[in-house]
Amino acid sequence: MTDSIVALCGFAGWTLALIFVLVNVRLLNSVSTGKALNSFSPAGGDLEGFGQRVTRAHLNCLEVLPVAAAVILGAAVSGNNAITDAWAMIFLWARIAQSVVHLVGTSVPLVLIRATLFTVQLVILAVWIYKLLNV
Amino acid sequence: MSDSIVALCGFAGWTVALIFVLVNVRLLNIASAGKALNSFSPAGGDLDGFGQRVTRAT
Repeated sequence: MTDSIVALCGFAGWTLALIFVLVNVRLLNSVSTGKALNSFSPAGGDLEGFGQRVTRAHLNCLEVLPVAAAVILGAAVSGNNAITDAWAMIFLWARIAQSVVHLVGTSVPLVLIRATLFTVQLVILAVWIYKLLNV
Repeated sequence: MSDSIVALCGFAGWTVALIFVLVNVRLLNIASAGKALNSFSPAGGDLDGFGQRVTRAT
């Protein structure tokens, strides 16, 4: 497999891992507080601390995963995977690091680190798209 | 590249462009209104006018 496909599958796997964490947080919350299983807010606003952060980290992954998939698969299908291979693993590690920082906390310094990691991903995506549209 | 791939990459590019606009709207809001970086609502309800619309458009 190319680095691009590894990065894409890694991103999908990481999103899946966050879903598992979220499910367990909700189950734990349901067992410990008696909260009804059908009463959780999709945005995580009714969970405190880590529960809210893991919900947002998961939703953040869902927001970017389709964009990354479109670009990486578009490059692969058109035979231009060399364009995305170069930065694919950096993209994946930046995403994982962003989520981990999000899970740790939401203080201003941590948000700045998270924003930096997100910017890295956005710039990589923008460069990939620019190169692909100019092949 | 086929038109389909160009359209797909163009769509992805437009989404990324909207994210850049949103980031700048938030930064401008921090600079002008002193809002904390970690206090923005994910749905954009705390921004007015254009800020809210660009959040939803993204």
